[in-house]
Amino acid sequence: MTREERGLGLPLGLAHELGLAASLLAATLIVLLGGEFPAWMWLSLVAPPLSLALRERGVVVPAVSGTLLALFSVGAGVTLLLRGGLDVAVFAGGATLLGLLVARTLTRRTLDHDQQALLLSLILVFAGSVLNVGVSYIIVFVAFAVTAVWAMATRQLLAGADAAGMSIARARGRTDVITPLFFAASAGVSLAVLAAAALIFVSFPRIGFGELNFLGRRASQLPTSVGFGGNPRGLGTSTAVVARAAGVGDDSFNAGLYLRGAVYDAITLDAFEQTAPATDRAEPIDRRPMVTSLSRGGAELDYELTTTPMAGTLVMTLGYTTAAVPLSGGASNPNRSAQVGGRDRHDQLRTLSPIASPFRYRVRGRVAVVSQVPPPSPRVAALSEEDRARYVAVKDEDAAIRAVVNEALVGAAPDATHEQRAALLRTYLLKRFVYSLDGEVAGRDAPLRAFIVDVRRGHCELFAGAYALMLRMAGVPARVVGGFQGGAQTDDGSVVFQLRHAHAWVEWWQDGVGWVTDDATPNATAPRERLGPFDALIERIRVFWDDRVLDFAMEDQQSALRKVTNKLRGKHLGTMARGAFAGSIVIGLVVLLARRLRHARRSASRGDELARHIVAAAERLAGDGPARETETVRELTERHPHPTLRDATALYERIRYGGENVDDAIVRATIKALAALNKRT
Amino acid sequence: MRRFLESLVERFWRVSGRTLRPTGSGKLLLVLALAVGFAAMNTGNNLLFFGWGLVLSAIVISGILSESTLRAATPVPLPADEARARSRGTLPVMLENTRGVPAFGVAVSYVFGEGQQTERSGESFELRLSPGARRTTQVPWTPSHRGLLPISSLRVATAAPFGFFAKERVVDGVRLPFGLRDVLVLPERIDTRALGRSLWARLGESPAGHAGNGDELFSLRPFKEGDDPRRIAWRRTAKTGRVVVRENEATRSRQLIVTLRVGGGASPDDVEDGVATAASLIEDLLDDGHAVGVSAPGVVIAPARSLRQRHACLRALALWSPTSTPTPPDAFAGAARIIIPVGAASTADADVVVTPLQRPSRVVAR
Repeated sequence: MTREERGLGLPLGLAHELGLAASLLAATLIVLLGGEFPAWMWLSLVAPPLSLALRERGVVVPAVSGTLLALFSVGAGVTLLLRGGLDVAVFAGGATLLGLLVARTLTRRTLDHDQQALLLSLILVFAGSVLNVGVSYIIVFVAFAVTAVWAMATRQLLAGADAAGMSIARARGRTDVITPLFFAASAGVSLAVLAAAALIFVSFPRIGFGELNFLGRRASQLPTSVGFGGNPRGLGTSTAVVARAAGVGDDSFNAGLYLRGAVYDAITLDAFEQTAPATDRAEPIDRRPMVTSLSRGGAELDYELTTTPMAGTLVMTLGYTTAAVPLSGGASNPNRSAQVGGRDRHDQLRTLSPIASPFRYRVRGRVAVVSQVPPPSPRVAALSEEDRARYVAVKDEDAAIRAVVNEALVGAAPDATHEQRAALLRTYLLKRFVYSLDGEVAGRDAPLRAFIVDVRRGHCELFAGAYALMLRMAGVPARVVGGFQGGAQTDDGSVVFQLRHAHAWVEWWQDGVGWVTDDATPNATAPRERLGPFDALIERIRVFWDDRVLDFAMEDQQSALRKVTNKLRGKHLGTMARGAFAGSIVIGLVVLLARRLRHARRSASRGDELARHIVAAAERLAGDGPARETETVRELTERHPHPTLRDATALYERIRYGGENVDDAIVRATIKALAALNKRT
Repeated sequence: MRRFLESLVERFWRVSGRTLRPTGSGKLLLVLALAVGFAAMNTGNNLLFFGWGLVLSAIVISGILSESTLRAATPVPLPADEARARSRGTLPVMLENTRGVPAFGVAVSYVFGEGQQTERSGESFELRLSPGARRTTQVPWTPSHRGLLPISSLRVATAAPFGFFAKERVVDGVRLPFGLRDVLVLPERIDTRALGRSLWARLGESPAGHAGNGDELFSLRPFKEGDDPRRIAWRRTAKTGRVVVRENEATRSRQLIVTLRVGGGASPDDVEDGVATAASLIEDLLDDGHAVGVSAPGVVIAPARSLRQRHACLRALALWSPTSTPTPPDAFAGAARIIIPVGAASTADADVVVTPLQRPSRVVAR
């Protein structure tokens, strides 16, 4: 390597490897952060740094291993597609791409392989736009853009050197290419690419042709069966947002909000389950205000909910609902919104097709207050015999549990109302049982029995299952509801429900009143949570992401355009436009004039310099003293014909009189040739 | 219709002084851009618009940066060393960065001739050219034939920054400095050193016709003061009773004329063999210090021994064509004529006839 090639920067080969590894990592992370893939697939993050380390040490992974891995990935993808149909097309494709990328990353040897890996990673990023719709997408996307620009630029330099026959090892070792200036230039290019991408995002009209549901995310994540032996669903610190409620008021929030999810009608000693699908009853699709059999307990108000696509066609609400109007979102195409189709057997609203994006809707109804029983109303529909039988059925009659129920109902009159019995049972649970996440009943036969009779320590699912079973044994129709409880309040008063707020509670039936929301879990009365400053900021970012990015539709584009034009109109658009037009013309003329002047000055000086050399050369050739003062360059040349003089004169005339912009290098070469002329040539 | 479109495209690029073609990965990227754009518009997926925007903006910015690189890098051809037909050589070119930003990944090549006769050299590659830097680099080139090849253009190319499109700027040959618009390609080199020596051994030296340092007896004369006593011819001295000394005849190197003579039935390959043989023989004989000249239809160069003579003979043969008008017989008295006949050419006046040797490229081609 020459001294010139040795600089203070990073070796070109190492710079390329680092950039490539980083971009492949970013692409892999984009899809994994979507949460669609199983945990073991996170191992694929090892591939890029491992490949970098192997390359630096000169270790080559046999190509056959990559081929096998690629074949396995393709096979797995095809299997997923055949099993799941088009609904999982993107998921299957993403899994296949991930496998192919890992295979290519580990077995790459040439720059062409690196290019293939980069292109695969780009396609994976596109798949990530469906598999990961969280805020993390844009953060990792930016990282990918920056590192991919770097990787492609360095790769191209090496490829060009290779194609031109330069020693690739020498090119890799060059340290004068990757300098701080190169870093800065690469960062600048990345920013320009991102800015242009953002501009295209904002300005390109959203002209979606329709719904293509097979590119949607998977639907309902609400389980149809919850076992008592496992960990509760809300365990952990997952802050992934499930829903946001606005306009519910501080009173309702402080009383405790219950966001209704899945309803479970069967309770056994092992689990509570949904035996009859929620939508098997053929209800007419009716978007008019509807009467439901939910209790009218609680404040009635209009509030807004935004739910993420995790509940299939279920429209979650906070209680008895009279009407629901979709506002935006819900469909995979932001230009459309989901349509509320009707209600199901559990008095829950349903959309016509699974919710595929954050769905915002306005609800008119009552926000249920736990354990509050309102006065009876004739408008409440009666419980059918079939439903009554379902909701009092005790599948596993147990004497020990019966004894506990009897103990709890000591002092109750034989004709006690459902409310009275529920109150007694609730009080018994709150006083005699302890909330615990220790999982002491896990692994035991009939965990619900162990909880009620023996352990008496457990989490909300056990409390809800126990309460519902005991109510049924007391002759009160009851069911378990799984959803989200409490939430956290933000600065602007809205309430955020996160995965960690998952909860289970009970609804029991009171004739004439309807289903009453009740909760016997001690933890349910914990002080209300308010988001801290950092969490509030994260929440604002998420809201911005959901509303302004994911839900950005043509309507929003038109609205933005209207705002801009209204502002300009208010500020005398015509005058401004005329002023801007005139200003741009003036600026343009000034720039043109300056360039002409500079060019002319430059032409004159270069032309004069060339003329001096022509004259000097002619004088040397002639050897008869200096040229006559009145003689032009052309005349002088014609007196002393020499091809070099003739051509130099032609060049001089092109510059001086023709105004031609000849490269400086050509002028210098001409002057050099003139200088070499002497009498002997 | 296709030809019309192609001619339109060609005319556009010719006027703009640029050529542009997508590389393999560039084509893939274009397909991807179309597919993702279609998917984004159909599904309305906003995040796909981000990805699509990334691809489109990368294409646009790639074009801007590559144009900036091409404008910055200015090539100027430099006087070339000797170029031989069918021999791998290099052509020097000076690359200058005339702008204030560095240029990355610049390749330079020469294009000779026009139309069907276009010939292109290899490429030299510069990883980085600092602002204002001037670097002399060598462009690899294997000329296909001898002659004066006009440089129709210099091409500055780059696939930077991302390698999706290969863009090229054409520096027209008429804008090049005079004296540097053509490259002289000498005839193909054949190793005739052994042949040359054997020819010299046959043709040897000729008597000069006066006394000198040769080996042959020239005359006997009376001994003079200062003569070397070892030169006394003792026998004659004994016979005549006067002391006489031997004088040897001086010799002179014979001048050589390599004559290329083309007769009927000579194929173009045979003619080129003849030219290559003549040029190589002249070169080797001159290198051995002999006075050599050349004669061919339209070409007569008197024998001489100098570097200039070598250049003149090789240049004449490089530019010679069989259609040149025949020249009157030369009058190089005393010069040995080495005739290289091509086809059915007459060799009656030859001192030595040399059958044209096959050029190495012709042997390889077979």
